[in-house]
Formats: sequence, structure tokens, C-alpha cells
Amino acid sequence: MAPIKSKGEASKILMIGANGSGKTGSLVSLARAGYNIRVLDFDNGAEILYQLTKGEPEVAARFDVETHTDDYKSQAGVVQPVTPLKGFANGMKVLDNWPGFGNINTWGPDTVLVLDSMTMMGKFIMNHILFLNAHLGQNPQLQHWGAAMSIQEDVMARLYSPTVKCHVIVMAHITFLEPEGEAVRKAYPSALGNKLPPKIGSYFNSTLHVGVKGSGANQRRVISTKSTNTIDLKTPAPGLVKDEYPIETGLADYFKDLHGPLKAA
Amino acid sequence: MTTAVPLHSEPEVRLSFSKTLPGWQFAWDSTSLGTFKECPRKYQLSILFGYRHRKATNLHLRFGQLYHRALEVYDHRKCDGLSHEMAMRAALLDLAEGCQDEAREPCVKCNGTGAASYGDLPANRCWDCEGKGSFLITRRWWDPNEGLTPEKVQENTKTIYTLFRTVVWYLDRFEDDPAQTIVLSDGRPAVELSFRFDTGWKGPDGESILMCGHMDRVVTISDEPWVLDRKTTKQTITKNYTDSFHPDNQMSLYTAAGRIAFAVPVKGVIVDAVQIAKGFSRFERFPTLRTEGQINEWLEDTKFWIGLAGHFAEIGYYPMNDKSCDKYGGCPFRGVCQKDPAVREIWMGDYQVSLWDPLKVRGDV
Repeated sequence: MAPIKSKGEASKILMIGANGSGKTGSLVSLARAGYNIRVLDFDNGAEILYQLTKGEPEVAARFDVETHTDDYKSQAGVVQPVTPLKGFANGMKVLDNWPGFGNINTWGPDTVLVLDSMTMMGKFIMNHILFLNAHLGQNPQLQHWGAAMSIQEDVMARLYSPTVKCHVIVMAHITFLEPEGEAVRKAYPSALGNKLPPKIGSYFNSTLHVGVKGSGANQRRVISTKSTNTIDLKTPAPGLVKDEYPIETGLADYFKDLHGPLKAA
Repeated sequence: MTTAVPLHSEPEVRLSFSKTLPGWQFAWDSTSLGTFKECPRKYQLSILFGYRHRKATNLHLRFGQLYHRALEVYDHRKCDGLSHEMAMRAALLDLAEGCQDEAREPCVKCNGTGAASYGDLPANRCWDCEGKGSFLITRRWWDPNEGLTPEKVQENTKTIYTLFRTVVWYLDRFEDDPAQTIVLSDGRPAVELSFRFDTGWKGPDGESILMCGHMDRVVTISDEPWVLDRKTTKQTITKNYTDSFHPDNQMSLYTAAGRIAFAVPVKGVIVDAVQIAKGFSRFERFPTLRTEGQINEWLEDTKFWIGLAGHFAEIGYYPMNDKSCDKYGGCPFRGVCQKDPAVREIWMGDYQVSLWDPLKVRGDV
């Protein structure tokens, strides 16, 4: 009988929170802790990283951001994506060959790949499917959702694969759904369709929530690890990690609790 | 042990089969591999021996082949520089020819060879039949309903009308196709592209095992190469339909081949499906993706299956998988397998031979 022991696997974290809750900004603590942070940015929201690290050039130097979004144009009152589409296709190319850093499979535990956000990536995946079917700019039909959801799930499967040895953080906005068999609406990571959000968490060993606690002057932003009635979270080390961390140092503290301090290369 | 059904005669030499170990296929495609996985006995009868039921309707096969060919002709003519309208016209003319069956009588002068000599002149093109070897007696439109029961005729959506409609609607829908056919270095479009690769495994005869096949079309979408595979179905294209391609033998093989056999690895396979209904044809494209881990697993599984085929070839016996008899529309050999092994040969008279050879190069348009 083989004894249980840690495989020392990289963290694959799903980080969910409302728009503007501080998910992207929370990455700075990891850079301060010495991790290389490579952000695949679909939200075009990396400006906060520049602002938060303005006076810390050595911290700023640990960030590398690849922003890939679809462009849109307005024609006869209708806004639709411009071809060739750039968001999803170029984003996936970068995973195979990140400029200056190669394939993500070659990265080690001193690096964190961040996908920000899965929600916006889903929108670009749908554009990709509609483009493929010469339906761009039109409402997706039932079969388009199925194809797009499969692709989104496949991307998560790729990042969860043991061949990706670096840490991974996928950011997602929140959607509220009433799961089958339950009478209560719960918060889920915002992915395509209704069937994918409740199961997307399977592709991660941690699900964390970024939100606001308290009110008025006592209001503070925190990273939570413990489930509540309305949101299911998870961690591979319950009892070893805290129920919540302050957002300013939270991610770095969580990583330290899971993996110990980052070893110098 | 002996084979369940004796060979009808000495089989003709096939490129994909070993010359030293009878019954050992060293070059596999998705059709032969898929048949083997369904039932080794069915593989022996249909692939090794090439048996096809005489009364089996080839409606779906011919409809699919004509559809593929029409779009292939269109791709070739566009590559030649023709406009969309002219290329479509060429495709439809070719399709019309393909939908006609000819009855021909062999030329007596040249004995069907197309070459004959006249007087003292050396043998040259037969003037009687203009080198064709035969004379056209009659030409008639293919009847897709031939061989179908009255009930099946009522249900049948694959007719010449729906075939033409589907081709025209497809070409109109994708006139400005986001999927651009790759042009090969020799100037030909990458359609009906044959591939083969050495798996690195060895068969029981010590020779290399190859995987091979033909890709309908290789395209670029947003500057990335993809394999596009065309499918026709009467089903509504829902998630059930798209899910049926994962796992799937053919799609996994194409994905593996796209990464191993090509100089520039393809991203994956896009299924270019059309639902053929009585009143409409509906088109949907969707990718069917495989991770590296899934491809490695499929290759490992394939090595197991082909190893099993090698073992059966060595012992000359192919067991039945009696759980497959009622699947896939019902096995065409069920009537034979229901008989005692001692009398099965008698029942093979209902079958004709058409040998399958994955390494045989397909004709060009």
C-alpha cells in the first residue's frame, strides 16, 4: 500500500470575484514575493498592475503581460467584431510560444501564469465559433454554445494538465445560477452557458473568492478560501490555510502557506 | 486455428498488407482500425477479405462521395483562379456527371484496351472507340432510392435534389470562407490530402507500422492551420452530435497526424457538418480538440489494438465481438455469423469483393 504523500504539484487556482473587486491587483503581492507573473490578458485590464508597481521597478520587472482582445467596429448602428479576430486565436498562440519565454510547459514553479479573465475569453471563443460558421455579428444558436463551451473547457483542461508545471491562476467574474435540484441561487465562476460554471471548478485545486467584507469605514477587501451558503470554494490544505487573507498580501500569503517561501533560483 | 470463412481465392497484392505474413496489415487508417475495434471478425471479413453485401445500399457512401467531390472541384477551380460563380458552375457540372450512371459495351476492335492496330500501322489509340475501350450505350440518373424499402424511401433525405441544394447553399454560405484552403508548394490546393507517418512500432513481421489516411481539406483560420473534415448527416446538429466526435478514432488520428506528419503542426480538426433534411440543409462547423495527453493516450491505445491485430494475424483467427452485432445499424455479416462455422462459406454468395487498401492513392480531380 503506497503511503499518501504530497506530489508537490503546482497550484491551479480559480479566482472569482465581481468586476472591480481587486482580482488583478492582488497579483502584485506574488510579484513582491519573487514570483514571475505572466498575464494572458483578455480583459484589457492590466493598467492596475502598472499603477500599483510604479515605485517598485524590480517588482514591475517581474510582470509580463500579453493583451489579446477582439476589435469591434460600429456599422449602421450595429457593433460587431472586426476580422481577422485576434482575441482567442492569438491568446492560444501565446500559450504555445510566449514571446521571450517559450511554451508554458517549460515554465517552473517560480512562475505564475495568469489568465485574466476566463469570462472575457469565453466571449472571444464564441466570436471565433461564429466566425467559423460565417455567423459573426449574429446571435449564437444552440449548437454554437455547445462548441464554444467545449473549447473553453478544453483550455481549462490544458492548464490543469500536469504537463503545465508552473502555477496557474484563472480569473473569472461571477454569475448567479440555480443549480439542478437546488432551490437556492449560488455564485459560480462566469463561464459560457449554464452547464459549465458549476463544473469548471473541477479543473482547479483551489477556488478562491475576492470580495468585500464589513461596511463603512471597516470595509476591507479579502481573499476567502472557505465556502459559504452562496459560494463553493476549495483548497487542498483546509486547516493549514486561513479562511481569509487581506487582498494586499493575500495571494503571497496563500502561496507561502501552501508551498512555503519561494526558493531562490 | 483456421479462419472462420475461407478466402474466396488468392487475394490481389495490396500495398497496406505484409508480403511475408498473410493477413497482417501494417498500414492502418481510421476505417480499418475502427472496424477492428468494433469486431475483429467483421474486420477479417470486410477489410482482410473485402466482402461487401451485394444488396447493401451505397446511398450514404455515394451521396457523401459526390458531396465531397463537388466541393473538391470547387476548391481546385478557385485555386486555378476562377471566380466563385465559375468555380461553382464547374463543381455543379462535375456533380451532374457524377450523378449519372453509364452502361457501356466493350469495344470489339480493341477488346476493351483502348489500343488497336490498323493494317501495318503499329498499335495505337483505337479509332473505333476513340481510345475509351468501350461504347456508351445509355446514361441514366442515379436513383438514390434504389434498393430501399418503401418506408425507407419515405424517410430518405439524400436525393439528387438535396445533393445539389446542399452544394449550392454551402458554396453560397461560405463564399467568403473564413477557412482558407492552404495552397501546397506544388500549387495544388490542400484538399484530399493523403498523409502517412511511421509510428515507430514494429509489426510481427518486423516491419514498421504506419498510420495513414486522407484529409478532406487543410485550411488556415486566423493564420493558424486546421484540418477541416466534412460530414453529412440527417441528424440535427446538437451537442449530442458534436459530442459524438470525442472520443473518436478518425478525429484523434487526424489530430495526431496533423501534429506528427506535417512540417507545420495543425491546431486540430474542425468538423464541417451539414444536416440534410427534406426542406433544408443546415451547416455547422465546430472544432473537436485533443490535448497532448489525450493524443498520447490514443496512440498508446492504438498500439494495443494493432498489437492485438498482429496476434490474430499470427494465429490466423479473429474472434467475434458478439456485443457489436446490433450496433452501427446492424452488422452486415450477422446473417453469416448466425450460421454454423462449417456452413458459413455457402452464405458468402450474397457478398461481393471490394478490397480496402489504405495506402492506395486516391484519384485527383
